[in-house]
Amino acid sequence: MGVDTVISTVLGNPQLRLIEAAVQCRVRRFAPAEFEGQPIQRGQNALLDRGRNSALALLHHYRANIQYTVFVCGILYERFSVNGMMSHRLGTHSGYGNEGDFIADPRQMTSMAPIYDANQNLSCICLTSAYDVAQFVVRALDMPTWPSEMSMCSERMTVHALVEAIRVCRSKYHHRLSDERALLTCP
Amino acid sequence: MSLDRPWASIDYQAPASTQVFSTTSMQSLTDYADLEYQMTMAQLGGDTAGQRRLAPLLATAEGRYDFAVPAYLNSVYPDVQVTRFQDWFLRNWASIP
Repeated sequence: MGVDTVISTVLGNPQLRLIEAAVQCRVRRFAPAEFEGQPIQRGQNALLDRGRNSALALLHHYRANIQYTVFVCGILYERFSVNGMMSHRLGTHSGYGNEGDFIADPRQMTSMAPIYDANQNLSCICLTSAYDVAQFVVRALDMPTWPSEMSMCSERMTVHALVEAIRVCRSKYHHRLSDERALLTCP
Repeated sequence: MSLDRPWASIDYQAPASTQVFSTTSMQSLTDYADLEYQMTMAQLGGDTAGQRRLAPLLATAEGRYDFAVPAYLNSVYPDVQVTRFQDWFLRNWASIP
């Protein structure tokens, strides 16, 4: 009886309290609210961390009592969603939960595209849909042991290819809509 | 009616000021240092919203959301069918002109 696995989606102090409560109740496994890049890649950058590192430190402290893993999925597709991530009840306090907050604003057709790294190579990005995250996390629940980190990816591409994909998709729709309007106005 | 719909504006974070992409008519060009400059200005001005918006853009340029593929879980569960970005995007934006 009791709770076997906790999958957290809260950050900061609420998550630290949740970890402590889980340890106290002898929960077997805990997945902290990560669901982004690899922790090693964000380092100590406070803007990217948002309290995640302290949760990992606490889980490491209790590692004899509770298993944990970091689900790494890169950037969620939902960041490019109509009405933003918030329409999926994701990233409410992230500062980029609104439509068009990250890389592309497909409604206004504007983009701020960080296509190169500091060494002038094309930047790549791993993207995963929330649905695919759910598929993989559900599978991972049945794993006999959890490695410290588990990555998943729906599609990896350059940032340049990403903004181009968005533009082409918006073009397709625009084109189709114009065709439909033309048909409707035909005598 | 052309199939090609340009960005109304696109700001590529290009590394060198000489690099010009000619895919759009109304683009302005900034470089990586420019993005860092914007971040510095946001920090100096106490613009926390700006900092939170710029941080993931800088992180993207730095490849912080990139990792080796096939990813671990994709390898362990090759039968899981993942969603193509274009398919998801077209569906998500289907009703928005």
